[in-house]
Amino acid sequence: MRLGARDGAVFVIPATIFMAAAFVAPLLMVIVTSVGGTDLTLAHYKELVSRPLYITVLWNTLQISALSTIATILLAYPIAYHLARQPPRRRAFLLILVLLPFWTSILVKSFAFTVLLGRDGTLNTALIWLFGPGARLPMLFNRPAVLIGMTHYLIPFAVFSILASLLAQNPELRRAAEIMGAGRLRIFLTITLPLSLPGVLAGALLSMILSMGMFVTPALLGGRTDLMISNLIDFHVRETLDWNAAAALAVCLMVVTGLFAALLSRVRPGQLLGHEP
Amino acid sequence: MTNSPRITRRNVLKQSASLLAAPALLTATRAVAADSLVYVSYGGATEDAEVASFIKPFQTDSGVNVVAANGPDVAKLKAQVMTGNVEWDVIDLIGSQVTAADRVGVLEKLDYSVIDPSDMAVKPEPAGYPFYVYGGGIAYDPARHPDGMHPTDWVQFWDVKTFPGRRGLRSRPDENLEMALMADGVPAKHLYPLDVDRAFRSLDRIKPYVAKWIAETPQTISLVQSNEIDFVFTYSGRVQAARKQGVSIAYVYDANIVTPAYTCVAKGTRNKAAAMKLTSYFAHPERQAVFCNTLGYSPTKRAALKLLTPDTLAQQPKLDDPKTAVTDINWWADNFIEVNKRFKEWLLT
Repeated sequence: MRLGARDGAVFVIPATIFMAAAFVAPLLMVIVTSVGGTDLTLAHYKELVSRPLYITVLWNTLQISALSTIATILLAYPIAYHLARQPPRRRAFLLILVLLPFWTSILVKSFAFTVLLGRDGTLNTALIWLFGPGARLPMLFNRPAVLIGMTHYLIPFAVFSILASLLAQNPELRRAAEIMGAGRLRIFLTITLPLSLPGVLAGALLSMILSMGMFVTPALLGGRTDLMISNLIDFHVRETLDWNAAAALAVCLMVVTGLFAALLSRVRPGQLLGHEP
Repeated sequence: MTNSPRITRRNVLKQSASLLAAPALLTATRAVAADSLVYVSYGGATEDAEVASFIKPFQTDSGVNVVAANGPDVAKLKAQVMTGNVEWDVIDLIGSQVTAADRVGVLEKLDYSVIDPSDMAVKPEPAGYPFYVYGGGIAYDPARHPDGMHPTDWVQFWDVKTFPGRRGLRSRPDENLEMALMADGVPAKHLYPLDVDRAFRSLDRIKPYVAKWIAETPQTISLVQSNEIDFVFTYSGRVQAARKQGVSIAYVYDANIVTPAYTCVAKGTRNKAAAMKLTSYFAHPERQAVFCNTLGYSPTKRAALKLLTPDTLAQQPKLDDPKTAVTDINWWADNFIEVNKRFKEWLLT
């Protein structure tokens, strides 16, 4: 018996049922809660636009997420590039190193950053030793601290998706370019980079989505203005017990994140570079 | 051979049924027995002292088994009540959590014919019996700021000229508004109803000197320890625990803002009479004294105060002291949501 394309559906049925029960159903509940259940009211959404608080915090969330995504991609690309050029065994070992941060809880990592970035922290001690007492930098409880903490968390996600697209490239293409006399920079810019852009976009999308939902890192490392939308959701769920407002906020966050996902998935690698590949 | 269980269809069915039920038993502690209670508290040293002072005597007297669980959370309680699957019976809640929980209808009204509400330094609530209070106040590193070099009340905490140093405050309005008003000269016993506008004007003055608005309580200690902050608002219990671990940190017992901790009964508990009876054990002066002597908290029964050791007395805020403020949880229940939004907006600008 041969399996046709239609039979392929059989394989995704278990996952579909699981997702329907564990993801779609609770999501619908959230949407229903956000309009006050059977009351069908938009009051909780009106509340969100009635005060500067939510708009400011949403704007903060977007800014912090975008910046940490950019930093993540810039740092993850060279790592993935290096990994792609290693023999498989060595690469497997190095990948374990990339994954190492995942084995520590985000709370512990944030406390560790306090030790590193603090006023008397490792970095400042080194700076003062090198350049004198004037070299001390405020690196904690501000926006840069949040970005450092978040980027550190996000890098492994981006490395994996970029690495996948680098490894998928046909090495013959680079060899052909080399034979035709292209320099290394030219090969990178015209072959490797454009072909890896789907991976870069996937990594960026993943980083963006993950960072939109973060709240422990900004709470521990950030200053007073580094409030993110998830902090407010957490607050409404646990402290004011206003689950309608929490649900409305969650739906807004989901819509904004969804818009970004749609936007990023529509960008074709060629459009990014200004010409068709 | 005749003694060994025979493999029959019925036995196999029984066995598999109990296997299927096993996960339910693991998650739903209350399935242990119909006449047992689940008591939820904050765990750690607090839970140990609660079990020794209140739970054990109740178990011995009543024969009702009490299972102690960890992590009271009003959101989880609300979810249990909403789904009609109430696993908790008696719960510890702090401050305005009680009023918040009561207003969303997840707590039983307490039976004050069973629980003795007399002789109290803190007013009992319809849905929560206060059994101890804990203090919030100023902490600092005595190695960096010896006597005379640190603030001892809120006027001094606000006085950045006499006591230069980085301040640490919580990132929420309750407690902050009270201390801001005291710093502005309002007497501790006449804070409520809070003059919110005046409190924010006072907070404006300290804002530039606050290095960190702390969301996670453990950071109140760790930031003093790592020399990120000089003077912090934190809780006496946290400081005592840190000192036991050898951290160089000291606590000012004057000018405290004290918050009561309550025992409450979950709405829809399957054993209401026993839950009320257990709660009544928290209202015994001797048991409160044993509990407070263990942890250094203040009891709510005035009679229990007389039973404290001199050591305990020296290490706690005095409820009747004119400089001690007692949180009015009902004011906060009425105003928390609105004041909190204003506070968060104020932080963002």
